[in-house]
Amino acid sequence: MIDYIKQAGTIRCKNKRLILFYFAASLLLSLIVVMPLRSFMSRFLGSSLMRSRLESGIDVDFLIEFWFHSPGFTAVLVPLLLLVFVSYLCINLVFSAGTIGLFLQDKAYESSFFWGIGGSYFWRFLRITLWSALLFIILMALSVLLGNLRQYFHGDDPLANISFYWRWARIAFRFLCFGYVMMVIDYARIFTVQTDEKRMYRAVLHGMYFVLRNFSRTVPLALFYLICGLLLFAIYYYASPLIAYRTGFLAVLILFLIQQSFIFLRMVLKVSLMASEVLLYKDCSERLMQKKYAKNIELRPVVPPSL
Amino acid sequence: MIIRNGFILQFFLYLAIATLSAQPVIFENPLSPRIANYDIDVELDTSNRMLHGRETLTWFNKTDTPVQDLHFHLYLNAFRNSQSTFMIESGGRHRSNLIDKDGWGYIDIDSITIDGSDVSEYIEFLQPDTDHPHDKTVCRIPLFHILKPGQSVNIEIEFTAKLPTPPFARTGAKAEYFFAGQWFPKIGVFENGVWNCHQFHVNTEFYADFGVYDVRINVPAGNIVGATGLEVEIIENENGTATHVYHAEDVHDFAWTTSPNFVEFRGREQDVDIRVLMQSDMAYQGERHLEAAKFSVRYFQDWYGDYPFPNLTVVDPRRGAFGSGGMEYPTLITAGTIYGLPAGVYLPELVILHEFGHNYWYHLLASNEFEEAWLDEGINSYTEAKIMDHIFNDAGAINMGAVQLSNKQFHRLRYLFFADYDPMLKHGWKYYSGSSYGANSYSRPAVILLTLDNYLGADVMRNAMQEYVKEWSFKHPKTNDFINVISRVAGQDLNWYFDQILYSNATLDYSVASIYSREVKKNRGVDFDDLEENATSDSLEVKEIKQYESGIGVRRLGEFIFPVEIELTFADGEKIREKWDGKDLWKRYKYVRESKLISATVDPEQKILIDMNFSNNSRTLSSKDHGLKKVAIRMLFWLQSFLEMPELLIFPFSLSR
Repeated sequence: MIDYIKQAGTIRCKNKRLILFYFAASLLLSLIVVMPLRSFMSRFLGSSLMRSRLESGIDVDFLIEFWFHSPGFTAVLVPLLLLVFVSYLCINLVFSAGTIGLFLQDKAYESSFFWGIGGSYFWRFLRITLWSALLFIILMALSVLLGNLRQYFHGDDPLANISFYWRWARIAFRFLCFGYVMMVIDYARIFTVQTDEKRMYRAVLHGMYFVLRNFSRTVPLALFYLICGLLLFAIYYYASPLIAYRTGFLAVLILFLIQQSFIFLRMVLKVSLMASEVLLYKDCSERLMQKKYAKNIELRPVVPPSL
Repeated sequence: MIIRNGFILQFFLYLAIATLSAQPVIFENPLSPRIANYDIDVELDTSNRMLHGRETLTWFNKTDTPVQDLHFHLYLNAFRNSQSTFMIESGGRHRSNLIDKDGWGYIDIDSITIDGSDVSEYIEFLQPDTDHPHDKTVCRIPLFHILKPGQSVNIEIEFTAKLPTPPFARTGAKAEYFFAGQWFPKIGVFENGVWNCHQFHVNTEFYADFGVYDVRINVPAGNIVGATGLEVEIIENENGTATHVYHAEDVHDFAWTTSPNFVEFRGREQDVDIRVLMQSDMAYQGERHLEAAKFSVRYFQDWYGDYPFPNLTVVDPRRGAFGSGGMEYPTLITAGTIYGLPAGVYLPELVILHEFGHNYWYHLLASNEFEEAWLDEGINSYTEAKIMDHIFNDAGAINMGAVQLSNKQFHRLRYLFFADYDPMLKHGWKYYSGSSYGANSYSRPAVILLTLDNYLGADVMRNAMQEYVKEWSFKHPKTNDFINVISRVAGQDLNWYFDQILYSNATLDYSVASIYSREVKKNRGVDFDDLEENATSDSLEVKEIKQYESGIGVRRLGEFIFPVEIELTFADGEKIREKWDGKDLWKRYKYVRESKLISATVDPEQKILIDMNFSNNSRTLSSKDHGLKKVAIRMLFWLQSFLEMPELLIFPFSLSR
């Protein structure tokens, strides 16, 4: 696992521009929501002193007033959020296809290659996402089964503490399911680009199989990056208050830089995870190929012919 | 004969003394008129959640008017069927609880005798408030003999009641847990020559006369019982039950609860014994509840007056029985909490303080909750906000890191949404909606009184509240009585203020509509140019000092009139305060000074909490934008984070389902 992480660092360094792409997409799309929201608030606040008071932290009075006196605000915000969410998803589909293509070929960034693969695999990646969503729904339905287990052990009227811990257990289970589905999506995508697979349910099934077959590698790898992400958040959580309550333009600028640095580092982790997963997948595939070669079995090409 | 008669006399004297000595005396002298006095035996049938009761009521006519009939509340009949007034008005929903389709409750009078005469067949159901012919929450019983002023009557009632399950609208049963509120036939209040005995509505509570209660509650042995008043003794019966004997004086209601699963916590604050009955799975929050009860007693006694009763019982309702939570009865209150509740969410503290507060505003000062709900709920919400925000440093609702919400802000938010739906003073069932009733009975009066508190000063207001408690304890104060006391202590007639709230839906919104500050130019034109030239030709060496003409326009956007202060801040740091009576729709202020005007603020300390919009209360000539930028970049950051972590949605989704 450490090798994958180290090698991922090398690949990432060759493709720094990718991190910028992900970061820029996140920033620009978020601005689509934040800019109108800011002007909404600006109009609401006018040239009041409440506007200045916002500098010193969260002002509950402002939230109350804004919520109450801006009834049209949610009507604008919710569609915008949906639009941004869908756009971000689509852009990420393009980016991830390009990224996986580059990493599978162990190439440095090339514009035509990156965008070419991104465009050609967009619909397939979208289908993977939809199949995975179905998988997620099925796994969520399993938590109902767990609810029945609780009923079996504790009856219809469990104690409050049992309900409480059960709720946490359910959250944990759902997070595990989510993590599994995310890994399935990643490996299904890698599989699709590597084999030029056109039936996406097969890709998802392969992803499911691959994650479970190589459980001792796939899960620790994902866990490593998850922990890195949590550590990063912990650092942000404790660092940001040092500046969050200071006033003045410099404080605002520093806070902005801290926040965006955090987001940027998250993107670094995201790209690193993809690189590590590609390396892991290639490694496992090669081992499989060697086994199959030994058995004289016909193999499919590692890189799709269209590339 | 004489000797024998003397012996009989002595025997009865001993008997009387023995009987009297069995009854504890809480108060040497009665604190209240003791009009309705109850002696009740009740037996709980746990498997059928039935109550079998025998009640002896001694009722005194302490008015100047003869009484021809008696009116009784049969509150449990609100849950009898879908055609009761309560169910028609509520659609079977109270707070967030739904009546269970098999969980109906009711009360039947099996027999009733008045001074020995059976009058059972003369029971007549009344619907004094609404045209709901099937409602059976009020009944009338005629008297064969007119009850003259000063006379009393003994009424003996045998009744059978069934508690709803799960508990609904304050009362009911859930598995092994029982909470009996409004469970016995209860006489109305005879005042002004008529009976004040309303149907049980979804948006009303109760009204009753004070009296002495002796209640014997028969429950399974081993059950723990909590009830209004003092537990005198527990009699273990041979049939596996136990009879808990309770005695209460100068109270106007009696409620009780029982469960084998209660865990008891005991403490004492000032002169009050506190008993907390926690559910076993919530026992870890027992100390927290006890502490909340202690500070409730302490602050109310210190700030508002003596709590004359020797004890207080706090009941934690069972899971699935929240319908009985957050309710007040004399010396007995129910709380409500959630397992795993963070320490910074002051839910149990707030509920306990609020419900204990009702032992003042409802119990000691027994106002009519049907007709003037604001007198108990509103005043109580005001005192709750004062105490909670005092104890928890202006974060008396939530205090979790960056998220802080004061009790005042909580009430103001609720007020904003329903500020103009109704006048504050209305009969409970006549408000536009349950939310309007809630806002006008709780939050709007709280905000109104907090504004008055700021206007008069906290000390004056506290003195006024103390005076109100002193003057109207163990009586039935009306709205005007409250206003009169406040006005008297404040030394000014406050009807101008209360009239705008009680009888209209007027709202208040002050704003700074305009602000300017410009350099004063020299006068020019036909009459001035020559003078100017002459002046300069005199070559007087007068150094010109810049002068600025500054001004603001303030507007009253609502109909509510309230005097307000306006603060103007100049560039040299000088601040000017103006007072505006707010009677006109607008007012302009103009100044010529050596310094520029920077900002103007109406109500700078935000004393007027009834102001509908704080954001238009101020204006600056050059506003700093850093605050808004900070909010925007924060939102940007959280949105970016969310786009990367959609799994965060699992949290709210999993908590609710």
